[in-house]
Amino acid sequence: MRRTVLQVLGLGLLLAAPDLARAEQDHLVGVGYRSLNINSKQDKQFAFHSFDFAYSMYVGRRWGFSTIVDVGMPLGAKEGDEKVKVTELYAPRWTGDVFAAATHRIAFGTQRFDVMLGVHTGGIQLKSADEFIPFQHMSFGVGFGGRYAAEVSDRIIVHGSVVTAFDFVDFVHGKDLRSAFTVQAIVGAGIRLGTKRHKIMDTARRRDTEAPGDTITDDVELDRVRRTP
Amino acid sequence: MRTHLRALALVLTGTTLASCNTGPYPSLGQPIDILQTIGNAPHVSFLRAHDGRLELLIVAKADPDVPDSQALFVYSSVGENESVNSWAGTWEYNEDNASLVLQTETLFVKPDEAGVDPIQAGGSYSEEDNTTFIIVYTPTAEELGAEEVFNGGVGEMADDWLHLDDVLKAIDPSTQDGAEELFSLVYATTYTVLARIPSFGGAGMIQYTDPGGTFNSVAGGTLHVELSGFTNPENFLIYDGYSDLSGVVLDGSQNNVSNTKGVGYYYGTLGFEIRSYLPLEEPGDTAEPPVENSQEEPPDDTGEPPVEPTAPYSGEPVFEGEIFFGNRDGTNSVLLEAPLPSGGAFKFTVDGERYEIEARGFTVRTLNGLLEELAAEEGSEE
Repeated sequence: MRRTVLQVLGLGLLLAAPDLARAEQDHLVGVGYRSLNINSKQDKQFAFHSFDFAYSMYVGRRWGFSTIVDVGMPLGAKEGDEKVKVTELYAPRWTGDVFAAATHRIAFGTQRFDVMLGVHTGGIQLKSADEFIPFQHMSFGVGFGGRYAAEVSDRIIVHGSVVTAFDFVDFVHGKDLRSAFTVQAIVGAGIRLGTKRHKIMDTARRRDTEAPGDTITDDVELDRVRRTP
Repeated sequence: MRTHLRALALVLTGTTLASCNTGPYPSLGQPIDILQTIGNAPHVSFLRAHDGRLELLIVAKADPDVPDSQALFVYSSVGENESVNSWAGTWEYNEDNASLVLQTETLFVKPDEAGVDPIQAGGSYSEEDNTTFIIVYTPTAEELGAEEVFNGGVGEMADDWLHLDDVLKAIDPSTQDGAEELFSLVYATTYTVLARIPSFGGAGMIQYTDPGGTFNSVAGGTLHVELSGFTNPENFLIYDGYSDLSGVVLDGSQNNVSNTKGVGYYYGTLGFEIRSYLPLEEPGDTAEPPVENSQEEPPDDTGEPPVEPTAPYSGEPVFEGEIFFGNRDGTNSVLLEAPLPSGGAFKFTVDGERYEIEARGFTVRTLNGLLEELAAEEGSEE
């Protein structure tokens, strides 16, 4: 299964490669909410809710590569139907995720909508000073996500992302993990780099202004503009 | 692009390297030490050799300092490669059947994971258990019943169980064989606790990085476990008034340094003192049961010096000494190939005499020979 995941990821990167030479880059930071649900083979169910800080990036054009890295602090948890006050029982406690994905970017003017498919790894660590057994989890799986980013001024963008991931490889508890399901929502802001593209976009906008109705809506059109002397 | 591929490779490599086995998921808020200790309750211990295993039983009365407390027991069985099963629960004396009825609540397991890479080993774990053990105990006088269990165990315990005092009487530590038997007895009590330390012996030991974990022993005192470092982890086991068998008290440390394959060495010194329930008498003497709560007798007004208390385990040590595992730099050390000692020698000092006990192939079940001999003698007397 791991091999298949890597093959899919590799294919995505190969698809993205030709476009990366004229890449635009988004670097974004944000805050988010994350829900992690763990099912063990011993029929234990855990649910964690956390507040996260995230860094999200995209590099590419129509096809590209995205990474979302986040760290956070669990604020609430349930085991089965029973609420557990993790904030009182455990310290330090943290959670972290990495999502790396092949991405297809759809452009609407200065707005972008990204569809991401890739691999996910995430973990949680709850420690207690000498009183409770630490709770640790780290797993690996596949993820799917969407991101909306809009340029609000020159190079400044705002974004919102939703990622869902299904993990099935257990790194910590032998083979006790049945599945781990993560849902993550992030909002934030960042910058868009890629000088060449911006110059092209500026050119396109000028032409658009000079010839109303000739709106540049996607990368194909953008390439046409770029080829125009 | 290269940077991102590198980052991806790093993430995948990191997660693969992080792959280890800390055993099944614990419950949230699960206490690290779930053993209910016997506190200040009077207690007594028995031993036996059974199916090639060394078995230790400690039974206690209800704790007089704790309202509504129950009579507790811990029954530990040490098997192949010093694996341990340890049951804890409550017991009562059934007068109709003249037997101790042990009702278990928790089973602690240190599994036999010899040959398993430590990073893949699950280590110790516990689970709820509901087993009943029945041990026939015939008191010398009918009216004594359960009370007599605490009066030196002069009645007959079935199934080859031997009162600890009887075993101590039979050990002659002035010989190499006797020293090895005494060493086995002392060292066995360091294994029984390992079953109660979640993930002990497995990759989950990483949970005991600073501040580590402190575990109560059955009859008072503690064991502190702490791990330092990852590539060559140093594992500290610090005993403080630790007692997992009545009257056998350990103080000191038994540490080890090993690589991630569990190959390394031990170091540290572990002191021990062994007190009998009653002062050990010469053969032919009669041991009088101690007076309950004799420490609380009001001082007499005669002006005479007060009488020394004769509470159980309060007398002079029957045996005392230390186990030297080696120096911190690895010199003169007992070697380790997890989970067992693999070379070198334990330096065992008892009552001023020093013996070297070869570590490779040593097992605490060395004591079984003596226990089987004593059980056979008791059987033939009947």
